[in-house]
Amino acid sequence: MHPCNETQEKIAAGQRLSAEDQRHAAACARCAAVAASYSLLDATLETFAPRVPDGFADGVMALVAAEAAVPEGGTARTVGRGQRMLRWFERPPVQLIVANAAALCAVFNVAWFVMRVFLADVALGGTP
Amino acid sequence: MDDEFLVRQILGGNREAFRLLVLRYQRPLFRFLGVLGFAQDAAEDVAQQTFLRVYRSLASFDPRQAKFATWLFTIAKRLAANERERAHHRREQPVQSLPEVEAPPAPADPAVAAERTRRLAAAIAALPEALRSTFFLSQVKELTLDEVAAVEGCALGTVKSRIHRAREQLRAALVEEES
Repeated sequence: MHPCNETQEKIAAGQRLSAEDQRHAAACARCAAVAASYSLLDATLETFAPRVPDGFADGVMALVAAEAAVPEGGTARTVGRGQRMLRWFERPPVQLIVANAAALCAVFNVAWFVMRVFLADVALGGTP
Repeated sequence: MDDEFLVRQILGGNREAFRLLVLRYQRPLFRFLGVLGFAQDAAEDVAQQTFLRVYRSLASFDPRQAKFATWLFTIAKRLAANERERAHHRREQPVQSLPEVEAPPAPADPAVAAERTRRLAAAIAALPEALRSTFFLSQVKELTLDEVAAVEGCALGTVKSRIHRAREQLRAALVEEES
């Protein structure tokens, strides 16, 4: 007797069925039902594709041409340079570094201001 | 003309050979990005970036290490992940809805076909991302399962298991509502 499980496993995995498996799937009602349901899935999937915009390849080739035209080291951009810089600043590690640097500057400035006021006070004859 | 021949042509200065590669892979690439959940505009953007990145890096492509299709989809997958991350930081949703389909399936009743497509789209959107990505890479005819495993960075057994689970979930979604 042909093992149904084996045939159904192959159908489910999308594997090619041997001639023996195909004969069995055609004769066995349970396997035939499984095969039919997966055929429906495969047929529906075949038609399920997003639209490639008209002239997409031309657009890519235009970018490639622009890439070839820019001087060595430069690159053709799919987005503007400013936009790319903004995206760079949106990265959390960059934002963290910038925030820490700003905080450090603030602390340093306050310390520097206090020290200058304090030293000036002493220089003018005040008590420390 | 196989991919490696075209790559040699491009590296030899025949830029137009790249157009053939774009035409060959644009549809599978859009399909892959579409089912990953990218809306039409975002899919176009990532597809364009992918081809441009491929063109820029063509000199570093080594056909002894991977097939061209494997290499291209590895780049596409990485750029798609980057785009997702950027959109997340911008608090945007690149994943809006599945893109429009090109044509309804073939059964006699167009309403049935449209309903099937809608259910399938919903079932695809509900798949966990790893399953979705692996499953749709497996649908790309140019990639073998070994190559899908290489793109996904996982074992062949994992790929087979993911395909099996994804197919089962999609089939169940189609059949359950129909019966």
